[in-house]
Amino acid sequence: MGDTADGSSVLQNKKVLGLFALAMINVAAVLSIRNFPSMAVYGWSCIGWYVIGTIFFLIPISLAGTELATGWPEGGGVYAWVKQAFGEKGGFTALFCEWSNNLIWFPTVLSFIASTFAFALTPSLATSGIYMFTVMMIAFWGTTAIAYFGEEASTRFGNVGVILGSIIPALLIIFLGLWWMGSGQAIVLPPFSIGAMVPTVNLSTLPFFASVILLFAGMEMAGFHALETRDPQKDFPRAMAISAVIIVVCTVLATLAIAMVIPADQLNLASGVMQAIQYFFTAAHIPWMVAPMAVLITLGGVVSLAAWLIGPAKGLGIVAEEGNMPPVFDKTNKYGAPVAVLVIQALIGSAISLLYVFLPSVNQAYWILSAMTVELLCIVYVLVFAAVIKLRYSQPDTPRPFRIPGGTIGVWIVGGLGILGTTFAFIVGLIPPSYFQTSGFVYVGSVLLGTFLLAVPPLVFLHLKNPSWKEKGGAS
Amino acid sequence: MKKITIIEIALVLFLFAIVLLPPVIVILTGSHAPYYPVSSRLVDEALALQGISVVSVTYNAWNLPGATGGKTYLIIDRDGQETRISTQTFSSEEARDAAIRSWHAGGTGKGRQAGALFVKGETLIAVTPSDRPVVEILGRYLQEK
Repeated sequence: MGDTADGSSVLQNKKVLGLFALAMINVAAVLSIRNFPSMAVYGWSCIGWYVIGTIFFLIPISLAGTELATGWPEGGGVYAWVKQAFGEKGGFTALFCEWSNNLIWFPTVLSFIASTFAFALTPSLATSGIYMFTVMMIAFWGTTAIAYFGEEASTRFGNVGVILGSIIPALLIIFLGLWWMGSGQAIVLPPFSIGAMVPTVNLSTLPFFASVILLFAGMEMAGFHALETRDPQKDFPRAMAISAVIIVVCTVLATLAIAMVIPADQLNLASGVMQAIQYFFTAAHIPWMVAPMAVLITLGGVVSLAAWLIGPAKGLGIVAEEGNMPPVFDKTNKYGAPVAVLVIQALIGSAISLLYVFLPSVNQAYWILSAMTVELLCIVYVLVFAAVIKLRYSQPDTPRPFRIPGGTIGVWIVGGLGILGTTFAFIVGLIPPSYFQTSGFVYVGSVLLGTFLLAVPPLVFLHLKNPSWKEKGGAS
Repeated sequence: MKKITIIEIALVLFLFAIVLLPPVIVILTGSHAPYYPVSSRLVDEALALQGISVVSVTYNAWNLPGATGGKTYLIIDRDGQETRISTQTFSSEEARDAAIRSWHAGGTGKGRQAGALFVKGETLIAVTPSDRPVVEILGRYLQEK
């Protein structure tokens, strides 16, 4: 590892991650109660949307991620994989896009955490900028502090947090849905039919299509922790399968439970998940569960934040360690955490959160920022899918304990579906919503320029790369 | 003790600047919707003008601080697809802005919300799902208004 903040040498990476911990990292990154009401408004057709997301993204990324993680179980996750296929420029760009899209997304998830927690205290707190910013910063810097104490601390927090904050709330919603059906209460969805499951795909739906494709983004997150994994070749495939099953089952069933119980006119997306939960528990005659549930969902938000905050930061630490960034980024503490990257990330995230909370809300600006997040993620995944295909040709003999079934055809189908889905998501991410009040040119220009600025720094770093960076960074 | 060179400091500052630039520009240059009283019949007028018939209108109150009430319009098109337009007035600009943030915080995954949100003065107008023609019609009307 690189340089330590206190000048001492860094401990070797402890192999602390097993099958369960790896699976929970992915579940933490992907499974979000936040999504359920948004998808439930589509009624039965939410199944069709989930199928689209599964075919064009979840299955391809799970298979590609497993092959890459078992074939190249190195630190850096997507960086290591894409670097093998396309060199440092490609690897660094993929990783940087994964990192920089988080910086724009953090205020959104932090705002969700703060407003959900307010529901457990006094909902009116959500209108107070001071309250929102304080809770957002506690969550952000608290998560950064957990990451500071290394993989072991993060894993313990993540394991407990994902069970309490994501899986248990989802299961509770599913069981209440089953109870609702079993007790003969009115189901608000129309009768089921195959046709009802088919989503409407037209020009107006396209911007949402991009969101659905990336609904399961984050399945590659465990790959960032390869160096701390006890038996990556054996554990990655099983962890991917377990996490994919947990995510799909919880997501689909909990969404349907909400759609069956809560009338569509009560599914108010502005009030978010907590109003749905309140309606749900009140209908089930357990309104006292609302506040504890708000606390659990807040915890789920924090765990999701932690998964996205730690993984790419660790990857950037590896990039710095390899001498692709100045040594100042290669400060690692005695727990093996990339402390410099974590601090820089927290400072930038705090600055953006400050703008987000204290500047007057600009509806369309948030929309554009969300589009940038999608575009950057698409760049990451296109590179990952392209890497899994290219490596079959450039490094055919590298042992891969897991190979995408079907030989070359199989890898082309899987990688091709992934590339198709994410490229399509990238293109439609550039289409302004039909009701957007800003001109299309301004919208597309803003999204493209923002995406470019957030993707280009690796090229600048590599252009200015100095051999002394590696010597300095690796001196310890 | 290792010396930090000027180029290293410059690169750290460059990273801060370039990453902060897009969100700062987008948020600062975005037009903030002014807060002013709005007719409670705004949506009724828009729908009537386009000849869109409403199946039902109910009064609602969003479960958000500062929300003072509004209406939910149910529209069913020729294919039997339902669209709900929900309006809500807010008692202050802060409460309205918090509701806008809350809306965007509820996006699916790392992406967008499943509905469309319009801001008109003191009122928020949410349309779900967002894949219905009425969204575009309403958007055009509100822009002209």
